[in-house]
Amino acid sequence: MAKSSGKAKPNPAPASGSPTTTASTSEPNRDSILRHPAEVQYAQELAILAQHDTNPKPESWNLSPQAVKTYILGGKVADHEITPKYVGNPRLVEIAIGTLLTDRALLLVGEPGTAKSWLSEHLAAAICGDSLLVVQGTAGTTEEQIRYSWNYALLLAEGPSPKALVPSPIYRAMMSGKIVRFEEISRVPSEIQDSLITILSEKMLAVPELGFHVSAKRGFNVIATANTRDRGVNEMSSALMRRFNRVQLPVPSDIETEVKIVRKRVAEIGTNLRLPAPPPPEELVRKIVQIFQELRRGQTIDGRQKIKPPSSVLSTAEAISLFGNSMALASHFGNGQVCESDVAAGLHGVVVKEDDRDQAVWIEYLENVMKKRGTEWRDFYQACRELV
Amino acid sequence: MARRSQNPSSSPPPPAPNRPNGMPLARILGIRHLSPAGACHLNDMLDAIRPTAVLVEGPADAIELVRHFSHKDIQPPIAILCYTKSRPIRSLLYPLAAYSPEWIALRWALKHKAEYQWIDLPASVFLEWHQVPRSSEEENQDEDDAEFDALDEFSDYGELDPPDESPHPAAVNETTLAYLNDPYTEIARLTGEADHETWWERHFEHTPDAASYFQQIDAFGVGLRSLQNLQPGDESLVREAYMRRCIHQVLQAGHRPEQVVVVCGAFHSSELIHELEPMSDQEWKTLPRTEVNVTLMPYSYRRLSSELGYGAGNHAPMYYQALYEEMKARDIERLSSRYASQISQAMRKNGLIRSSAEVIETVRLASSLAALQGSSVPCLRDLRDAAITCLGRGEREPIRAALKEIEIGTQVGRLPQDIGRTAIQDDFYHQIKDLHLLRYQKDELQILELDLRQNRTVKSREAAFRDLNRSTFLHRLRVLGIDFAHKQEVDQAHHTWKEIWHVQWTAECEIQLVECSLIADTIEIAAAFRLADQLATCRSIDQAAQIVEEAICCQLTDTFVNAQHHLQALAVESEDFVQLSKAITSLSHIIRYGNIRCIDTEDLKPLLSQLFLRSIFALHRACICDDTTAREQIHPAIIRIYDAVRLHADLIDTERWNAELDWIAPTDSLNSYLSGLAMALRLVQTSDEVLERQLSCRLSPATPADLTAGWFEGLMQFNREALFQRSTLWKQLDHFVTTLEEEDFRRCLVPLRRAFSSFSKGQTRRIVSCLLQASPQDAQSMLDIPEVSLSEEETKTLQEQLSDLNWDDLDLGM
Repeated sequence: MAKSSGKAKPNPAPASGSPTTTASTSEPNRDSILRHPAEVQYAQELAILAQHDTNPKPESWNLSPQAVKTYILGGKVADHEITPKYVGNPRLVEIAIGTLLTDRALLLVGEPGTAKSWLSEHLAAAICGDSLLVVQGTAGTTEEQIRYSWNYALLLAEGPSPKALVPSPIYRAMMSGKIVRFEEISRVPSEIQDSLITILSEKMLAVPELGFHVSAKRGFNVIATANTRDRGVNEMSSALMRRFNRVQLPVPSDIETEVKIVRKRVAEIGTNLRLPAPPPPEELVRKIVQIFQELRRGQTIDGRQKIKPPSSVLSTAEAISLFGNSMALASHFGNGQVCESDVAAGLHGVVVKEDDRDQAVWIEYLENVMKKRGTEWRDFYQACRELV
Repeated sequence: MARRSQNPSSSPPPPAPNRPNGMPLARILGIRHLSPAGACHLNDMLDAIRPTAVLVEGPADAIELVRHFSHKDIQPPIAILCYTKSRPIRSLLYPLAAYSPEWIALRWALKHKAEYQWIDLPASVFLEWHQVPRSSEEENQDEDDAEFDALDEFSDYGELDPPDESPHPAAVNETTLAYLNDPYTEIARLTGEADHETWWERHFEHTPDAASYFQQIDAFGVGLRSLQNLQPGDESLVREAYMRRCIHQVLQAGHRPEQVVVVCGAFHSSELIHELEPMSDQEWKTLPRTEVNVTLMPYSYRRLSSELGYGAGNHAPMYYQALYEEMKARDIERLSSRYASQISQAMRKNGLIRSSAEVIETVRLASSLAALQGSSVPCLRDLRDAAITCLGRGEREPIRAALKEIEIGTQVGRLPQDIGRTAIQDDFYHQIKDLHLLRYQKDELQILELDLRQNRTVKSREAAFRDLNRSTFLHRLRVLGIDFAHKQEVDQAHHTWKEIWHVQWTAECEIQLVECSLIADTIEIAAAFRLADQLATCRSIDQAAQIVEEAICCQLTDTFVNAQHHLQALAVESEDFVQLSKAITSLSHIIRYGNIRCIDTEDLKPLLSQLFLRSIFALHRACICDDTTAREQIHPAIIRIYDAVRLHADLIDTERWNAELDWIAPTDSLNSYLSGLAMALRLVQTSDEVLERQLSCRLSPATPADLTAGWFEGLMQFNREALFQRSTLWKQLDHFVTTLEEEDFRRCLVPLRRAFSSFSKGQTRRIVSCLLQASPQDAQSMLDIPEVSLSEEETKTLQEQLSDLNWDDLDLGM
């Protein structure tokens, strides 16, 4: 009904577009795009998976659940290597996919930087080939952004009509049977959040002004993400909560996993941003991850010494951006190789972010822990010490 | 199904010498112990075959017990317990749940009047076998058996008879080694399942069709077998030879092979064939054996689950029970809904309300998780993960208790009266019935309150003293180490006649009870023996006093008299003040309250006097000690004796005790804390003048300041009311503190602070008012002091300043 008029005007990205259409619109200057959505970046892997997918596909899914799992966790499909997108407990991914197979919505919860949005983007890309239907939740998100708004010029000129209606990403996902992502849902005021309730339980969105309603096509679902530990976060009403399956994404608990994640992502960023510096050596990554884990846990890895943890969040994502930053530093102002001084520069800023007291925490860590670690850590300690 | 194909063909282990592929001796039905599907399908198979003889893997000498299986009052889980008649007791445990194929098979045989038999090696052989050291290459296994010694289960029971022999290292490469050590984990890994149990459940327990179930499990058994390299003389081979012997015997008795069903671990099923020799009479005679008792005992799901260490691959007995029931009703699809709604009910019971919508979502999520693994019926892991996601809302914590209740359960098996019981069990059950304690025999913590006084409202003597008799009985059990009841400390007010016990019956209690049958045939005699044993090895006086007390609680008169003599003998020698004080407390307690237990305690009184005298002599030396000992050991000991002195003034040379305290209080060569304490104990009788002299002596500048502070700390420990009455004391303390040098002040600060820290706010106010009398200036500011709490900044500066203190130095000074 409202479909044709709705999608045409306000948004150039067609609502029913497949990854290929999205890709083709930006094809001419594809290389100049800073970051491609997952379905474009991994189009080849998705195509391979689709080609060799023998398991039954749920209606309006591009891939079977098993193939989606392989896409997320990595694996081998007919001699083609699928890179892992999420490193961590595979069971969590299974539960997430399992949830999307039912008509329950999925809520990914976790501390900042635990790959919530990352996972939701890739799930959407793999399941419906479109990760661009996004509502970014903020304190200023309004009900119109969740439901629909109006093209006021048309509305004034012609009165309410399907043509004057501007659909939200959720509206469009319902029409096309796709997955819509709701980022940072807990930042949206509770009363606004609650406008999702009917959409989630009855899969229907009423447009009273025009006297009709939109019923969601099969395949429609919502992946929301929410922070557990951050400022400006609103409680979710239990009525809404009940409509989600919560999956808690943990902070990586062992060094090996985290080193793996950081190295993989840093290499990707390097290629993506065309930084001439090669990715940092594993030794250095391991050191940084160790520092991050120790500060996060409040004790050294061997459990022998207690450390005061800083107030700032030290997530894996922070470690990744720290290395991205150092690679930029190294390639433009350094010797082209990421070395300890490049990382040290950023590290101080990561740990001492908002609170002056963290400065003391950092110095204490340097003096009490790092300084006593022996020769391998000597240079790094010196580099850090100079900046304090 | 056969994992044999996974076995790397490049260097397989040398094929077992007699890899058979022959004619089965009878209808062999391989199973896994404790398998719901196996139990269900076995029942169908038996109905279809209608055998004339049913042979089941299990200890041959327990055959007598089987006839009870059809008793109407028997309720699994139960276990067959076999234990040696000689000490040390070694025992074997065969648990049986309602879903054990063995249980099903034997019940079927009983119901249809078929012949039945256990066909595994008798426990008498098994227990001896594990006792006798064998050739050196099997040393490894003997080490494992060390644990086996006390109370362990069949080493291979529960799992599908896993390989418990260590492989011969020369013959196998690394991959094979992985299979051999832990083929189960390897299988789970290869199939993409998280663990072996999940794999097992998905591939075997959900099989709807009996024929394919047995085919699969046979193939699996053969595959598993091919991974092993059994040597002649190995346990498994000997057991199988014995099984063949049993089968041959049954066949010779005239049963037709197709009418004989053999139920055994699938691991063995391929070996029960015509081509292999049965055990000969000669071999049978040479097997080592010992005398054993076999008995049935109730068992519990909690123990059956791995929670209490019995890892028989049955981590969720209650869930398997449900699986069995649904499978039997041919409605396995119903299991998910049953599980989810039970979880939500258990959560509601704990006050966590979850809606039906969420229960429905749990079932749906579980189904889609199962679908991801390509199966239509969710297994336990899918259900649990779905329940955590939907009902726990992503967290495990809120639903942990419910999971435990629904997956493991608290069920305990029941046995009819008087079957297969040892004499001591009979005695126990009679008493528990006579004492009306039957309802406490549950695997759940219950509280039992006893009033030891005679109940004058009832007629019979038995009823009047029931609680006292219960107490005696529970004390006897405690002496015997039967973990049925735990006595709780009660508050002083009801000390004389009230006892509170936490009672919980677990399957272990039954085992402990059975163990006691080796000591004697009744609880009473066994307890007396046990106490006599303890007495014989007892070397310290407080232990002896405790045994005296226990003998009284257990109403064992002879033991009581013996223990009393023993105590007396020890008392002559004893010089340990702390032990003496404990013995005195025990005796004092007995003398005061002994009559409630109807025991004559007159003879103890001279003993108490004797102990008192000894303790007074020991006190002096005890007061020479370091601060920690003083605080933690001597201080409570002194208070114990002080209490006893007040209660037994007639038995004690009170004068001597007081004189000793009076001597300790001023002596500054002793521990200053204890001197202070002695002063406090004598405070009421001390005149102002003496106190003043004491104080000025202790507070004089020649005395090290920290010793003074320690003395004060001791003084503050007792009778504070009396302290508030002494204005001299506060005046002098005030003077002492205000005239301290900076350095000394710091050293005193900690002990002084410690001395006053235990005062309540009201008491602090009284101290302030005492001090006000001493120095009336600054009245207002002083009054505010107790109300002030330190600000954050002050705490910080305080900590900094205190950290300058040289603590080592401080300790040396004391």
